[in-house]
Amino acid sequence: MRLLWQIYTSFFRIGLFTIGGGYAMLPMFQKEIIDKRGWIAQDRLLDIYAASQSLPGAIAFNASTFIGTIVAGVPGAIAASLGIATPSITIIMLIAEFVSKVMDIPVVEYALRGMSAAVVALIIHAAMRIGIRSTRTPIALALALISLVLVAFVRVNSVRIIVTAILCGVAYAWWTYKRDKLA
Amino acid sequence: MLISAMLVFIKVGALTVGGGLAMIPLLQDEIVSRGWISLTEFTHMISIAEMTPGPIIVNLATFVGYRLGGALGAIACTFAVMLPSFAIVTLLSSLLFAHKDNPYVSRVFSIVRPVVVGLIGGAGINLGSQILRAENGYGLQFAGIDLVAAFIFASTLLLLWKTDSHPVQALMIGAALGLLLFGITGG
Repeated sequence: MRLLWQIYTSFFRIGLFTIGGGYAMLPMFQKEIIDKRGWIAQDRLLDIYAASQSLPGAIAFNASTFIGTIVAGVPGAIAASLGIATPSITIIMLIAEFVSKVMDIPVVEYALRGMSAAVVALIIHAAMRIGIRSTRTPIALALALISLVLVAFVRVNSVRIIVTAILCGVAYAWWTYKRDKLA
Repeated sequence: MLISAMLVFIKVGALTVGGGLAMIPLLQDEIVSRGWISLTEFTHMISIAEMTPGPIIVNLATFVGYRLGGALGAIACTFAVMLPSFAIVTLLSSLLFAHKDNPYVSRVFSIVRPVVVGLIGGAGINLGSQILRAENGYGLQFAGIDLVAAFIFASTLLLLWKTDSHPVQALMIGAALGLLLFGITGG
């Protein structure tokens, strides 16, 4: 019980003190999980991060569930997940209530409109940054462009696009597996 | 509605590969196009989710859930979005380490990853075409484009590209420019 409480409070702090999600959380994990508690080894954290990136869901949240499982099994995973989500839920609910009340004040509206334009820049920048890393081959670049056109101009639902991509990926992997077995 | 919202978030949680921003095209298709939340409000939610502590996915799910069904909705949607990754990670944690470097697994991602990049870019274009569009009769505009919004977009994009600054910093600059420029031009 004591261990679960420690897990909960450690992840509560991680959730509370990191802004921006994903990679911004790595230094906090380092401090809380390795330096303070010594629950896992340094190399393990990087492995966990790498695995968390390729799984569905938030990177930080996957990493928390991973670490919770390693430290104390499924109860540990539950404690870690609850810990990392508690600050978000509390803070966002307070803000959600507040924002709808002040949204029509011109000063707030101007700031929000400025932020909206910046959000578009953030999203495009993220696509460009990840794009440079993950579209090194002509085929990858073509896949990225096709999905961009489908979602932005043809207006295909992105759920369909991603499910199709996963099925194609599995089919491709299966095909190479068969080929390697024959060879 | 709350049940369908939870189903949407389970779906989004299961299909979001590559972190917070990859969730945006999915949510836009599932929530904005159903008319549950307006695009303007959705964009504000993204700003706030980026600027507040915690994982962006959790923040967004809480926000949308709260708007759809109060505190209960917030908790339900957050739970729903976390469920798929929780199940996958706890069930497969030992297996995953064994197969992390498996070439077949990485081949699946060699297809999925570029597609996700395209989805994020497409979501940016979709959102941008709405946010940067001028409303008739208001503020500075040219050829149907809101010039102030376009300027803020271009300068924050340049800043992010050149300096790789933190998203929160970019949003703060966007807010400051918005206050200043929309204030001067009268929105």
